[in-house]
Formats: sequence, structure tokens, C-alpha cells
Amino acid sequence: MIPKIAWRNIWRNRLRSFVVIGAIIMGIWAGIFMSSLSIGMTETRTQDILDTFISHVQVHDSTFVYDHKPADFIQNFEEVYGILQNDDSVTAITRRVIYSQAMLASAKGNRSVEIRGIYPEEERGITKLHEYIVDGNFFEEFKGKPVCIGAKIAEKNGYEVGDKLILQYQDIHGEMHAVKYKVCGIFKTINSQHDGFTVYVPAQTLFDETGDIMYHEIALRTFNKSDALSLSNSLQAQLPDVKVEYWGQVSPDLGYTDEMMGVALLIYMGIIMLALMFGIINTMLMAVLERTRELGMLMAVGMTKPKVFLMIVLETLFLSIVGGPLGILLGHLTVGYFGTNGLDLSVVAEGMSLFGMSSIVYTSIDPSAYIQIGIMVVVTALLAALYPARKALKLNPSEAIRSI
Amino acid sequence: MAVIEIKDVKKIYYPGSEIQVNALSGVNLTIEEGEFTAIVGPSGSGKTTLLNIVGGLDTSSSGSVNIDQTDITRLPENKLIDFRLHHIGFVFQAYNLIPVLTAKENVGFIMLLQKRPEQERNDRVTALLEEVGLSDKMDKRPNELSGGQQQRVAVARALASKPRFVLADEPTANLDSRSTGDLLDIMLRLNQEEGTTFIFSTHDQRVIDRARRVVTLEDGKIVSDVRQG
Repeated sequence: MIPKIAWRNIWRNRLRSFVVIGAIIMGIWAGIFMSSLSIGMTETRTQDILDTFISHVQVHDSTFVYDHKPADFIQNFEEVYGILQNDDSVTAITRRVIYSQAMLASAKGNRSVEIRGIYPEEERGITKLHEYIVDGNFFEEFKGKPVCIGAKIAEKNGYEVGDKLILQYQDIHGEMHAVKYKVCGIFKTINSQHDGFTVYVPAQTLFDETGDIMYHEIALRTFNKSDALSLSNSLQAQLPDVKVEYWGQVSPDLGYTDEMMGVALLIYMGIIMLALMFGIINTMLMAVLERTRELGMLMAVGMTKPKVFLMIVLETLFLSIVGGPLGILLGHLTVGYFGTNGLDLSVVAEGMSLFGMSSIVYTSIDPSAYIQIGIMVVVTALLAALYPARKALKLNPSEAIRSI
Repeated sequence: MAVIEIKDVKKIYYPGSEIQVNALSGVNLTIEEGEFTAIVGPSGSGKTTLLNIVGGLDTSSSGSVNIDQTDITRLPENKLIDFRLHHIGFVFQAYNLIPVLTAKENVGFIMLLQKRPEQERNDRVTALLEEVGLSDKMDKRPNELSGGQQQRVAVARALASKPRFVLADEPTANLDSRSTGDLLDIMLRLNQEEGTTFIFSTHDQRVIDRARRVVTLEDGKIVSDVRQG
């Protein structure tokens, strides 16, 4: 009977109940949408950055990671590469030569760059760099020594496909090389910083110039980015002489952001629930104070305080139980729609590119978040019920009956 | 047999302050089983205070209220609530029905709190609502009933728990004369045929005229106690 009375009580003032239920629905929807947008942006950014140049796991010489010195190449490369190639979890692998402190010089200007010597065919299995070519090609057709440069470099220095430029760098023996290259392709990734600093050349051309066949980096992919950490741990155990890092270690900000997104939902929902709680308290307090005489009567005729308390708590819970699932459903539908079609934020594409973000954001949320939200709604309702219910318990039956 | 024995009950509001009020100043009263008693007196004489203390809704400053040999002034709150539930029926001036429940549910609610079986509840609720002449209004909510009908539901509710007596605080104050007459007829019939003990406070001369016993209070003291007809 008490649940029945509680249920009917919430419909005594329909408008007020609908306002509260509406607030709960909108609050939950907003929380889910905001969280999914943040998570989606982060996931898209992470995925784009991994696809553009980081990949899932990287292997370096233990000291290379600190200064990126050319001399810190992977010492026992053949052995390491062989082990990695034979690992079942490795789905794609490539090798890179890196000269981080290089100079690009031409009549159109000089700028410091990082030269990455790659194997174009292997690189296709690791990154999507070839998909970002906006002019020319990715080492498919060229004459002479080809170089692919970032759009930002091309834009700043006015380079076009076919232009000649000089790449200057110091080899592992300290000997300077200044070699003429011809722009074969211009790439524009979602990361403008990368595009303003990196040039790609075939590794073989570097070997021809320096006579040193060595590699600074091995990049590999596994089935899923979430498997990368366990793979890197397992590889590190097998290869103690090199540094094996998963993407979160290669780019700590990416790893940190990814971890943060796990709690973003809780933070968003926590703030929204706190605001909702005050709304619910206000409504329930009004409901209790309006029914002073009725509550007094219930206590007078023999309804115990725990039962009165239960009734008020149930009323609050019912309001939330009506609003909660509707809010979650609305949020789920919204996340589903924008998760498939994407949310076009191209009006701020340039700014987003600076942060390595794509202008189309696909919302994303872990389905288990709905359970978390459900629990938060119930907890909020219970907390919000405490004060009005306590207020009801403090009523003196004889005074309450005479109060109106 | 005495159902209620009130001995030297005093009630002082704001004791020791400048606005101290002696609402009851040593009231002694015994109510026998089956009596139909009106507590009368001018406003502020202590009628409602006395009924609240007898009903366990308020505490006395001193004295004792024995109901079937139990001094309710010494009962802790949780036992007092239970005592009220099983021994006392209440009828309030403003009916005080639960607006979201039907007449049937309002009457049955008390028995539900007593944890009576469903079949017993249904039978008694039907019988009581027939007794108060509302068998055709069982599924109506309070806002679909007139004031007189609501008060009759309240009487049925008060009786549902099979109490030792019914306390009614100004039960006819909000009723027109016809409804007052109907309600009094029902209460008197229940009193005569079923032996239900009624104690009610009232200003209403029509009610006073039909009471079997009239106890008059003035300034918190009983000034007369008259048995009629």
C-alpha cells in the first residue's frame, strides 16, 4: 500500500512532477551527450594520432628516447626485429631511421625538421600517412631522391610538388650531409604540429648517403589499441636490451587523456546530479510541507515513522525512476546517431587541428556507463529524499493535524 | 467497565515563562465502555488538548491516562504509535482522508497497517462502508465525495481497526445540518447497536443535545459532568 500511495502521490501535482522528471531527463541526456562527445573527441584524436605516426607499440634503443641522438640506434636490430616479426600479436611492423635535428634549406627559406627514413610499403600497414597526401604521391612515382613534406612546411615556405630542397643532417659519426631532394608528395594530417616539422624520405636513400644501415625505431600494430599495453609488457620482458613502449608511454598526454576520459563521465554526471539533487529536494520539500496535515494524520492513526520515511523516499525514487531511464534512452539514441553520422565541427576545424583533432567527432560511450548513471540517479534520489523525509518525521501529529 | 481513567492531568504550555498557559489544570475523568460523551466548552477551554492527550497525540505535564490499565503517558513513542493503531480510532474535523486513495482503500489502510489478512480487510471494509451508507461510493476518491460523505468514510476508517474507543475532534464543524444529522445518526447507531465508545469535542448544540453524557470544560477544569436522557 505504501508504494501505491507514494506512486499516486507523485501524480497529485502533475505539472510539478513533470517538471522534475523533465529536468532529470535533460540532465542525464546532457551528461551522456557531453561525456560521449568528450570521449568521442579523445578517441578520435587518439586513433588519428596512432594512425598518423605513433602506431600501437614502438621499440627504440634505451637511450634514444631521451635525446633522439642518431648514434642511439637499435644495436641488435636483426635479433629484435626477428622476435617481433614472429610474435602472433603483431599484425604489422615497420622500421624507421630518424634524424630529429635536421635542417631543410632552399631558396625559399630554411627550417628545422625531423627526417624520417621509412619503407613506404611497410609504412602503409602501420600508418595512414599515404591517405593524407593532398598533392603528389606517397613515393609511388618519383625521379631522383623523393621527399614527402607536411602541408604546413609547404605552406610556410611555398613548396610545391617537384620543388627541390636540401636536407642537412649529421650522421652517427658526426659527419654533416647536405643532400638535394625533390618534393614528391605533400601530406596534410589532422595534426598541424606534425605537418610543420616532419619530412619523410625512403630509408634506403639515407643508407646510400651515410653508408650506415641502422634503425632508430620499430613501429608495430596489434589487433586493438587496448591490447597494446599488455603486448608491450610482454615484448619488454623478451627484449630487455631495448625500450618497448605502448602508445600511452610514447605520447604520455594521449595516455593521460585516455585515462581521464574514464572519469569524465563521472565528473559530468556528478555535477549534473548535484544540481538535480537540489531541484528534487526543493520539489519534495514542497510536497512534504503541502501535506503536513495528511502526514500528521498518518502518524496519528498509527503509521510508524519508518513507514512515513519510506513513503517520502519512494516518492523521490519514483520520480527519478521515471526520469532516469527516459534520460538514458534519449542519451543512448543521441550517442548512437552521432556515433554513426558524426558531429560536424568544421567551423572550428583549424583550432581542432592544432590539438590533433579531426573536425568530425563521433560520439562514443562505454555501455557500462549506463549502469553507472543508473546507480548515480538512484543514489541522487535517495540523498535528495533524506532532508524532506527527515522534515516529515519531525512533524508532531497533533500540531500537524491542526496546521491548516 | 472503565475504558479510560484520567487522573489529575495537567498540561502547561511554556512553563516558567511569562506566557505560561495552563491548558489543563488537574482533570479527572472516567469514561465507561459504551458511553457517547461530548466534551464541550468555549474556545481555549482545553477540549482539544484533553482529546490529544487521551489519544496519545500529545503528552501531559503531569497525571496519568489509563486505557485498559495501560498508562499511555509512560509509553515510549514507538509503543504509543502501536497503541494508537490498535486501541484508538480518530475522526478529525477536516476529515483528513488520504486524497490519493479511494474510500475503500482509506478504510482498509488502517487494517493494512495492522497487518490484517486481505480477506478480513475486504469483508470489514465492505461492511463498514455499508454501515455508514456509502456502499455505492467505495471506489470514489475523497475529492469525489461531499464533506458529509468524507466524514462518514472517516468514521468507517476510525472503526476499521476495531478500537476500544473513537476520539472525534469537532467532527461536525465543517458539515451542514443535514450531514451533521446523518453523521450523528450513524455514530449513535454504532454506539447503541455495537457498543462503540465515542468521545468527541464539539461546539455544536445539535450534537450536544444528542450526547448521552456532556462534560463541560472551562479554563482547563471540568465544571460540569451531566448524563442526559
